[in-house]
Amino acid sequence: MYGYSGRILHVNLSDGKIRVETPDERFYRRYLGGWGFIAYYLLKELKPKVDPLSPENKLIIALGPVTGVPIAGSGRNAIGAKSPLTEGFGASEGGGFFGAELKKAGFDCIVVEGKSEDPVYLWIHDGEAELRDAKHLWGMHIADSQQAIREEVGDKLVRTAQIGPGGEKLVRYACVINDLKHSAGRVGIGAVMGSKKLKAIAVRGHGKVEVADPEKVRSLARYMSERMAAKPKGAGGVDWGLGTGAWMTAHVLSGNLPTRNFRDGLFPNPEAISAQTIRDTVRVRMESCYACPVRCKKVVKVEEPWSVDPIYGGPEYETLAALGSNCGVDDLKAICKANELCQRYTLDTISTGATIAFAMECYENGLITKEDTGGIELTFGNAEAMVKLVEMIGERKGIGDLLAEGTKRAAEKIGKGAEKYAVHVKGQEVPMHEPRLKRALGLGYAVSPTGADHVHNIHDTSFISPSAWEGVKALGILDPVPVEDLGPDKVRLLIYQTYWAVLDNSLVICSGVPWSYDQKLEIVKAVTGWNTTTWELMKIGERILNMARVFNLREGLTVDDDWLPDRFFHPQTAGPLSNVAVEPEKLQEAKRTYYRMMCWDESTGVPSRGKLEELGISWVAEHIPSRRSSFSA
Amino acid sequence: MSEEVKSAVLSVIDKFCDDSGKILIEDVYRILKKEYGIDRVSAGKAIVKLYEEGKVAPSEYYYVRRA
Repeated sequence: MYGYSGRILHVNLSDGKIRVETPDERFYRRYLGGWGFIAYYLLKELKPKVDPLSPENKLIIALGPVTGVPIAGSGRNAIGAKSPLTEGFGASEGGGFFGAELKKAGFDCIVVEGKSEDPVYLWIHDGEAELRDAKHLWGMHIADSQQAIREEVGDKLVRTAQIGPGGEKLVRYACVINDLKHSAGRVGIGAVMGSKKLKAIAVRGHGKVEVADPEKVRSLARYMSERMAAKPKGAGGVDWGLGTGAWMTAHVLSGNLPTRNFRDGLFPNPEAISAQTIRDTVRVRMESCYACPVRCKKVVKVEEPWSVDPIYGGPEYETLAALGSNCGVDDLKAICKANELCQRYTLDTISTGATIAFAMECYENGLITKEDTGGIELTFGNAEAMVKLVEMIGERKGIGDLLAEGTKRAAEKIGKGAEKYAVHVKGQEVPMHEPRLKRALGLGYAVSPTGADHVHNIHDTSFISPSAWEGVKALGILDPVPVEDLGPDKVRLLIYQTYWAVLDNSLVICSGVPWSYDQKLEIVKAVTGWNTTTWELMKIGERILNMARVFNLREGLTVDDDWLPDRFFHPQTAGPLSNVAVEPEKLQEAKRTYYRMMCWDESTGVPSRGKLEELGISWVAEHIPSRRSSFSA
Repeated sequence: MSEEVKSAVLSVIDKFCDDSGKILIEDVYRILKKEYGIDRVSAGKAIVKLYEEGKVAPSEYYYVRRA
């Protein structure tokens, strides 16, 4: 079998037992990797309705066939569990080098169960795995614990996936960070890792990922390297080499830049927090993930008024908006510091920023007082307060303890109508893209199995240029659909794009590398040797999306959870969206259209038996709660 | 907000826009820096202000034009 090691590691932290599973090729071709493995093991091995922070939850680190192959975008891994934020399907992806190293160490996936009595780390090296004491690492920021692990195992090239104090203290949106700066940010997997007392996974491998057609892989890798070496321009004429965050003014003028908890429009100082200003002021270099010529990762250094350590990388667009404009903050150095703290503590920057913005709006409306904040003037635009709160959340100190629960739970505890300021879907804070502008993205937020997510979604504004529409003709979408449209053609496009994104998350390949659909097919064929087709790959995406759906239904999520927060049904206070809001009737109709196209029951959201059979996963039907069964189809 | 910066933004739009009247936002910044020595942070504030005043409008997401 090419592209895989053929070995899945199972680790029980309760009794310390470790075993290796060797599935057959049919398993790999059906579920592929990443999200596919996560959905499979969550459905097959997790008891229904377990507490996400209990030993019964499982932590799944999953690679795909592409992981570790020397080609652009192959440095990622997925990591999943039942989410402590959404209580549903949880999966997130991180880049860097950890995933590739794990494949070279001889494993395609790690399934961790149980809970250790004392902190441990998992040390994997060239086909071997062992649990090691981590009592002395508990409480450390991740740069310190990584260094300690490397010294202990005597290898400076060991790669790590770790949690910091935020994960240890069960912040519900704690993330897992690869190599100190590559976050698997969303859905709170870091808290699951913390609940198991697993501080880190450290890997070192000297193996090689065998591929079916090495020459074809080399040729594809060469193509992308040459394309990037030519220093291409991206959308809007900006350099690819800037990474994310390069279109801040365009975002403001379209209403897309979240401002003061998605309440306002027209952030007045967009370029203070742009990738270009980072380049011109605090950036020391750009870095890449494994084998990737795109080099989109910023590394920043600041000396005053805060010291920002470049070892923790730099802020992406989501971070710049979440901790910046969404908190009303235009102080770039403060954002860099807050980003660094999020890395140190392993906190998702999106949820952290969104939760602080929520707290600021509560404060300005008298729902939180200075007494609650310990004297902090928690007003929008107060950069110092924003930075301070990140630390308090990471330590669960003072009001940070409440905010560590995320906006949904914090709002429930605050009461007094705070729910209307909690901008989340299914408990996960909304990323930094505006559904009042991007209508299909809004529907995508609502129906996403992980709660609001911008990666396995569509960005309507990406389809402004005629060339983008040319690209999707290959999917059978022949006519352009306006940005604000939410009719059947747009819903169909959302579905197809989501299949592809889920496929990316299962391969696991970076969606930030501009591979075409055809090139991705060529990559899969060259790596695995399978005589596969675009059709089969899209079906894999569809299969996994349906598995995640059934998992959520089993865990108690309903059609009511497929909805947007109140904020988006009201216009922004200023700017281009000051007269625009999501219309609930139109969203409801689009949701029904989505369900129909997915072959999900319109009233219950349950996938039809026929659909599950057609996807070759009849067994998944056993996991649908009987009261919601609508198997008339 | 410096009136000179706002005036420079409008001049750049007028002088360098295409036949349809639009110009890439990124080109506005590039030209402002090169021709007027105006940094992009100040220019960004000016563009937002000009939008508020109804003097510039976005176009095809990445462009601006005279309103």
